[in-house]
Amino acid sequence: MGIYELSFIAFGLIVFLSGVGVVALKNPVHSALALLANLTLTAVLYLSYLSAPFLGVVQIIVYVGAILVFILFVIMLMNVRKEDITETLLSPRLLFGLGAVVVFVAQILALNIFVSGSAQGAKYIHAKDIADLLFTKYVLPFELVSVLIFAAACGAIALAKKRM
Amino acid sequence: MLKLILAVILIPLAGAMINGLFCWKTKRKAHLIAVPAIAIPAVISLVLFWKVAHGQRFDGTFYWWISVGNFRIPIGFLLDELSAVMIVTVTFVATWIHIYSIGYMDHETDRGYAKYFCYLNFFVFFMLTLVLANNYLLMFVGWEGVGLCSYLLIGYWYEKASAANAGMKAFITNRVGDFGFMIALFLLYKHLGSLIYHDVFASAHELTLPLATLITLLLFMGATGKSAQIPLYVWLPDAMEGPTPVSSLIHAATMVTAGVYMVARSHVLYNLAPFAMEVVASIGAATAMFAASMALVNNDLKRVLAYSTVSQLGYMFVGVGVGAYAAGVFHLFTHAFFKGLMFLCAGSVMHALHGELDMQKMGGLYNKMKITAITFIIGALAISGVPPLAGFWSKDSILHHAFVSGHKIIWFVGTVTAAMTAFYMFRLIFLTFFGEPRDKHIYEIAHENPPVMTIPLMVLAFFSATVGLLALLPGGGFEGFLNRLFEAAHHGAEHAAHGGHEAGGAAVLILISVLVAFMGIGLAYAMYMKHTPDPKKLTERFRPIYTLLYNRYYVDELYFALFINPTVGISRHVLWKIVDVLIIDGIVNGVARLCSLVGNLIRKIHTGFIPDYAWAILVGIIIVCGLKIIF
Amino acid sequence: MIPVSWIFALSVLVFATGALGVLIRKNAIVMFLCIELMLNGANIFFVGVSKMRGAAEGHIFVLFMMAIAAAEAAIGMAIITAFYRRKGGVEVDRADLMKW
Repeated sequence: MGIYELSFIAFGLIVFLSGVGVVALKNPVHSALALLANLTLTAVLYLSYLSAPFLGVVQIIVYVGAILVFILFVIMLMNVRKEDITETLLSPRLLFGLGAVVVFVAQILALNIFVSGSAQGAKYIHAKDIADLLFTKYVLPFELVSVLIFAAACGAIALAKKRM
Repeated sequence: MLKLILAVILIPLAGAMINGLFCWKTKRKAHLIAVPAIAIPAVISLVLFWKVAHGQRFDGTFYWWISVGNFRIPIGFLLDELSAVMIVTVTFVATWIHIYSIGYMDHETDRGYAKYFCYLNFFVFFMLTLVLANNYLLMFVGWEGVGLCSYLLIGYWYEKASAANAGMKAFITNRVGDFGFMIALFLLYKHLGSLIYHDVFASAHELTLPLATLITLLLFMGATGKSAQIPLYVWLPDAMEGPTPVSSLIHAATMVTAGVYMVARSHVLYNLAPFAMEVVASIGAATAMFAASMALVNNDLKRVLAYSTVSQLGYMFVGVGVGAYAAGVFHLFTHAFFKGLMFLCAGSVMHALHGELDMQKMGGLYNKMKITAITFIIGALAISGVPPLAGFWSKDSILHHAFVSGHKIIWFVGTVTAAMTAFYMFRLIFLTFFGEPRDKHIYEIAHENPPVMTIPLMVLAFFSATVGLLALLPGGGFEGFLNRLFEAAHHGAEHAAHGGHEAGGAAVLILISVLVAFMGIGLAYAMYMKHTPDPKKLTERFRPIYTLLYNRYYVDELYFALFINPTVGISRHVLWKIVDVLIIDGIVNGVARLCSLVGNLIRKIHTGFIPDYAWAILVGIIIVCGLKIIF
Repeated sequence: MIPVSWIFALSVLVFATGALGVLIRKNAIVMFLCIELMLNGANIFFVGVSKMRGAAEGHIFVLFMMAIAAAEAAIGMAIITAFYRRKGGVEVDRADLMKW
């Protein structure tokens, strides 16, 4: 096991821990920041280990730059104060949840969907490859997704109006 | 020919549909549709009759109604001598009764008027289906259809409890008979594999004697219901609750004769079962006498006629029972005219007297209603068997055949009944039209009816007087015409051949029946015009018999005690209180209670907390993955 | 060379963490964040498959998923704001109208 693999393990651990942070931190602002870390690190993962530069960039722009900022904005709008946070994480709920999730992970492992084999060498997938597929084979889903986003925008406006 | 037959059947149906569906439009003008809807088929029927008389017949399938495996029932029609006679009778009498109804029903509401004509046309449609069908099942459709129309028309004034009850009584009594009819059809199909007359009669000889007897007796059971014979005659007198033209058309001229038609139509089967024929003849004779005796003392104008109808139907069954099918159908034919006529006359009296039916309150109406009285007398002479009017020929033919086929007792009963018939008919006439008016008020409001009612009376009176002469036509007359059908199937021809020989004996028989008729008329004259012997004194002397007759032998009470009260009692105390309330309702409510109990338990799952639903999703995923691992 | 199963393991772990968060947190916004986390775990999976096969299809899916996540965020945040306005908080146990 070389330095490359060890670095991946370390990096993956950080990604995982940042994810745990989202769940474990009481203050929603902190949770959001942990998610920010998680998403950014994932973007780095795409860029470095998974040879997907375009996706990494999109991840930063869309997730971190748009969605997460938006969520943070909403959290700020709610004006959450420290004394409002009454949630206790250490409860029987946590125990059951952990149990269920562990069972779930064990099942996924048991299902043996992990195909053996290693990630291939440095074959980068660039924006051009994606575009070639996206605008030929997947052009219809692409258009449909644009319709979906449009509908979501309309729905959000309708939902957020004062009179509901 | 099929087109003409279809026209005969479907035109009344179309009339009924128009009046039934558009009664708010036709209203007072309903008869403008209803009368042509019968009159046109009447003309077509005459054309068809003409064709049949010249030797044509029709037996064809118009449409396969039911075709399931081997079970095939066509909408098919059979036109031969018998059905030709029937359709002419039905449409002709129905036409004049429709016309008469225009006058009779003029007090009805607009809706009721259209409804009445709708039912009447509908009835004719079913009656024609009954007589023209070429298989037993289609005949049964017509059979039930006329029963339905009869029910509807008896209960026409359904606001009146007695009318509604009479309708139900008629319907339920008929059910008893239909039960037998249906079983007979099942047996026929089971053993012969078909219900089409042609096939049934062709293979009828395969039936064993007990089976043939059973089938024919069951068929006759249906006939006793529809044609009001012992023991199922009780509905017919009550059926007089309906409008009088209905009594005339349905309960005198046509529907009640369906049983006779059916027996005559099934003559091939009956010829195989001598015992069943004896039963038919005996029941017919018994009914004739029994009903006539009840008519002797009844004071209700229409009920006397109703008992008379039952009695005459008995004659017809005597005719078909002794093997003289042609004579029975001949009597059916003549009876349709004179009994239809007499009912219409009774309706005319009733209409003039605003619904009064008690003969004891009438009297002297001859001066006020000459046409009605004269036509009524013609009808009464015809039914009494006075030559040369219609009833003489047909009744005499039946009695003659009964005598020569060796049924001496039946002949005797028939002859005595003939005397009774003459007596009660003229008792009715003398009480109604002659003598002193017994109720001044009623006498004063009496008036002759408009021509729309009297013209049908005159027409029917003319035919009542003359149709009997058809018996004198060359080639055996009317019966000879029918015997072309009956004898063709009747190879043995035991009873039918002796039309002319034994002329001396026949003359004696004729003389006896004519004498008997005059005796009856004379006795009625003596008792009700001259009062010697005085009917009141006779009543006193024979008080028990009078009471028995007046209360109609307590048959209704007997049926009530034997069948109706136990049924009602069981229904009320067992079926309702225990089966329905406890068991059925218990099951229904129990299921509902179980559902709400389970629901109460299950709804706890729906906590209303969003995380719990997330839990449910995860548990579901785990279960699915688990199944994937296991299998 | 990194075995592809490591990448899968990472994605499953991230996904499971998100699922745990959805299960145990009561704050609607945090639940929402956890859903994003789950989506992210799935994304890693897809990109890993793509890397293994050397095909671009997985990336297409990730792009679509991002688009859908964006739509979801818009709707979700709108719902949460409306909810907050009505109930005065974002804890999901405030939504108890459907409670038996």
